[in-house]
Amino acid sequence: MKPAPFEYVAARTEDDVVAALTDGHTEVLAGGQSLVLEMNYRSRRPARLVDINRVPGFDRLATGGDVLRVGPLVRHRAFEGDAVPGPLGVLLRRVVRHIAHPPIRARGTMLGSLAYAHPAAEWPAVLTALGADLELAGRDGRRTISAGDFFLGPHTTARRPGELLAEARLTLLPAGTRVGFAEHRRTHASFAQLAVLAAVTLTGGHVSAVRVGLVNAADRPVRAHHAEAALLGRPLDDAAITAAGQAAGAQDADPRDQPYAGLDYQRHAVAVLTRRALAQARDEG
Amino acid sequence: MWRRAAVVVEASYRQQLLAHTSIEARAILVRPEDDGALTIWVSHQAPHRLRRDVAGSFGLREEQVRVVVPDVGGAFGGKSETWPEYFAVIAAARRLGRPVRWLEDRAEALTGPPHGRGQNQRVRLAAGADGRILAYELHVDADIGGYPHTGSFVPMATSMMATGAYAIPHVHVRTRAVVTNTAPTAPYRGAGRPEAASAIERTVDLLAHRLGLDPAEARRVNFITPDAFPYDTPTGFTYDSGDYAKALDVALDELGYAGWRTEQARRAAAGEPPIGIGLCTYVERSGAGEEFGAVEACADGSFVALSGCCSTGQGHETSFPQVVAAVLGVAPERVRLVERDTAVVPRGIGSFASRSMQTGGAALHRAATKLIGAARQRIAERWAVPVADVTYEAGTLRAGERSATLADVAAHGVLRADETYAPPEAFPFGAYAAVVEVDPELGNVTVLRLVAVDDYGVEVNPLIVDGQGRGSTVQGLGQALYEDVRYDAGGLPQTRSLLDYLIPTISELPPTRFAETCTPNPNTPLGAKGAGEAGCIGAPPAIVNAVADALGLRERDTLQMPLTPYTCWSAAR
Amino acid sequence: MTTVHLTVNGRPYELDVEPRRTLADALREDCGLTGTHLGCEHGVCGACTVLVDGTAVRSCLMFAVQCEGARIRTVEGLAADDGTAHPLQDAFSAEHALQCGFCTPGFLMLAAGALESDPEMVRDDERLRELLTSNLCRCTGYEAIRRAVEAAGQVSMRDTGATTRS
Repeated sequence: MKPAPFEYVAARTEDDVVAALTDGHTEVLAGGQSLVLEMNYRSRRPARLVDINRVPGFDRLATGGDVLRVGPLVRHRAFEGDAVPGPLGVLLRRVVRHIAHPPIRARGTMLGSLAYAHPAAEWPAVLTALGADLELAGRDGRRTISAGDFFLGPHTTARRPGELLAEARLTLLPAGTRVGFAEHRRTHASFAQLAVLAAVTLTGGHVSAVRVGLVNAADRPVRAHHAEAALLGRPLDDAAITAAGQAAGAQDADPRDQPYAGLDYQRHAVAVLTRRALAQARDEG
Repeated sequence: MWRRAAVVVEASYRQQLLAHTSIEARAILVRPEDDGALTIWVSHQAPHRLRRDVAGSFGLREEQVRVVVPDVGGAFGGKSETWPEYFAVIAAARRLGRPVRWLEDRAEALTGPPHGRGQNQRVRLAAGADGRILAYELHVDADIGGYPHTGSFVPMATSMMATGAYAIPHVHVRTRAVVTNTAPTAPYRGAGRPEAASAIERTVDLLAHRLGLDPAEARRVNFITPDAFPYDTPTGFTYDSGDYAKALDVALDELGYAGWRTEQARRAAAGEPPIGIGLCTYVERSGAGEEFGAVEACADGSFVALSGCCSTGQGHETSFPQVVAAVLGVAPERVRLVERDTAVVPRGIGSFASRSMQTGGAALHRAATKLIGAARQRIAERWAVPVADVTYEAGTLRAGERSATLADVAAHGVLRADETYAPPEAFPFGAYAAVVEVDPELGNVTVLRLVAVDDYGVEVNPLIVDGQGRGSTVQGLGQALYEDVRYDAGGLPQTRSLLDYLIPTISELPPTRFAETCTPNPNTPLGAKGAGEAGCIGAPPAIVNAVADALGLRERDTLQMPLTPYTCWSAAR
Repeated sequence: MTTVHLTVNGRPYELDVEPRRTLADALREDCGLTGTHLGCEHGVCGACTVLVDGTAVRSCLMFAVQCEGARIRTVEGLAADDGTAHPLQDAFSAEHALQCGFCTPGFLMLAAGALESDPEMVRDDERLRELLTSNLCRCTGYEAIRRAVEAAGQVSMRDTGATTRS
């Protein structure tokens, strides 16, 4: 099908964007790889689009101190290379390979994915688990919200009409942090059925810090606190990893109906994927 | 029989609904002409049939309707029918007096007609302790959708092919075409034969498992033997030729069967992820009815071949000139093919059921032979010599010292031979073997190896035949593991995009080997059998049998395509 | 209607389009370049893949109005001005990498974008597989497409002149 008619605004500054968004009927056009798809299907019919592709500086991807700052037009593919230092870079590099395929990654953006909040998207769970801060810009100024508070359900976020998701800030993972990612899907080009990411810091052979995130295991991205609790203070051995997997599947996951995966299978698969992500973190770093 | 037999196995199988998924969906452009005539450009498989249907429905003479089929972006059975949408477009164009086009979008293609497959099957098979099959019963409930279109055609094709490669003395088939609330079904690549092959091949495997026989051996003892051809099946077909055991032997050899069995045992002993080996020895039916072919010699030394077939990507432009050139003894580049335009090709049926080379190619073969005969006759008359004294070789006719080329003959008057030929159906066959690994934790199936051995009779263009084999095998892989048109409990379609309906990408390709045996079609001068659908028929049962083998399943009713990880995980519990 | 200026295969176009006109439709309907095919209009099949400023993208998921000032390359611009086929076109033909041909323009442009930025990528089986996973083909079973892109990459590495032709 073809999109319904809409009005088009090509923004040149962030103020342009925020001004355009105040009418409440305008949506942000960033990479467009989900929005335009939905418009082609007419499952979305925005009255107006504000295109942010020509706003200078929106593609900024910068590290300052121990913080990675991601602008609203940083494409997925920016994370394929070594732009992000240290273990965080390794994790993002592993994750990004699972997002669609090269032409989509050349257009789609990380912040667009966060704003779209597709339940099977990888970035929301990564940022939730890592405790990223999200900055929203609106007519009344800017506010910061933790990624854990941002996602409210499928395609539902704390972003208010009139707000632009202006920046994501991730704290770099300290050197020595071990990361892992495991995803389950039906074909290489399909969405994730489930996925798990892990970042583990060992001190003196024991887990001193850990983040575990679940993709598509609930109505929103999950930071797997129970799994993390099962690991803290313990050596990263098979027993701890198995316990963490069980906790993730049984306690952290809150699976919903999806095709080709019953609820029992989803809990089981979360446990397996958690184990695999942790094993990768342990064995491959 | 059922009480006497040493063993009786029973099972139920589901042939899920599939989407043809030609990357180009349906498309039609209609231009009304001044005199009430119509010119129709349409992405189609059977232009002459469409012309007939359109003319009949709008009260036009056939010559008032010109159907032109430009390059078609894939079809696989979904573009051979006269769809109601076409009439709506034609009516609109006539009403408005201006050209109207319709381009189906992907959501329409996935949710509207046609779907393919869609059968519930129940089987019962009785055998002796030695594995010899005594009786086979197949019940089919075929989902033909809300508006029966091709009706019982596909399920009947399943019925007729029920016994596959085996000599089975007693057969009972009951088929019901069931009207449902899904979109209508229609032939999809294989059109009834994959469904038949899947039922018998899964059941023979089940029998082997039940008797503790090697599945290759269970097949061998039941094969129709080479000396039995032509073989009349209990369902009413006459198989032309075949050597099923040879195809199986080639497949096992290409696979390294014994080595994989050893590896399977080693893994089981070592507690490693299980692998399974699955076989399928299929017979299919190809070609039906007549086809038109004509060859004309031109005064400039070139040739025009006309065919009633309709390429939708099978490369007729390459292979049909090869057929004609081989008969005439000229270079294939001198022969130009014309098809897909009812204003130029007077008659024709089209391309489906793997019929083009077997039927259309054979018609061109005969037309070219006829052309030589006509030229010899013409020269004999002109030179006043007996026809028997006129020889033909490589484009040149000779009698005594005199010679003339076909171009010379054509310069003196149109030199053209038309042929309409209806050879009997042919029965290509082959053997597929798959090795799979099943992730014991998540149920993911990885196909470690796939071997496809096909016998299409004489291959005119091996590269094109290879392409057909590879493409159909990947579609078969799609049915086995990924593809599934879904409706919810309320009858709403759930597969509206290619994000929901998954077809294989290059990353799903298993390491695959292709090999052939060659048993020429005894019923045509060309010797070709159909070669377009084999992989869709052979690959799915081989993969399903391999997964069942890996999981060591005694009862297999829970193992239904597509074999998603969840399906395999559930079946293994 | 909005006026958009873009360059397609080296030729400037000035188009009056509605904002909702996708780049794919603008190429097909407004520029008359029907080599760019639409197979799904949701970015999955890749038949509509073109190069925008050198990068392979889905032209069904971009609006023409976003392409003001952009340089677009479509399959029509792949062969040289004198008609000499691009190495990818030669290779697709030689390897029988197309049957119905509908997905072919998308695969050609996907591969052209990748080879022009780095022909060496064909030496890495994994990268090549990942690239070709972007698009769907229902006819060939992909193997011939993989062989063709690999062969064209070898040609491009030998003859870098061919890779910079625009």
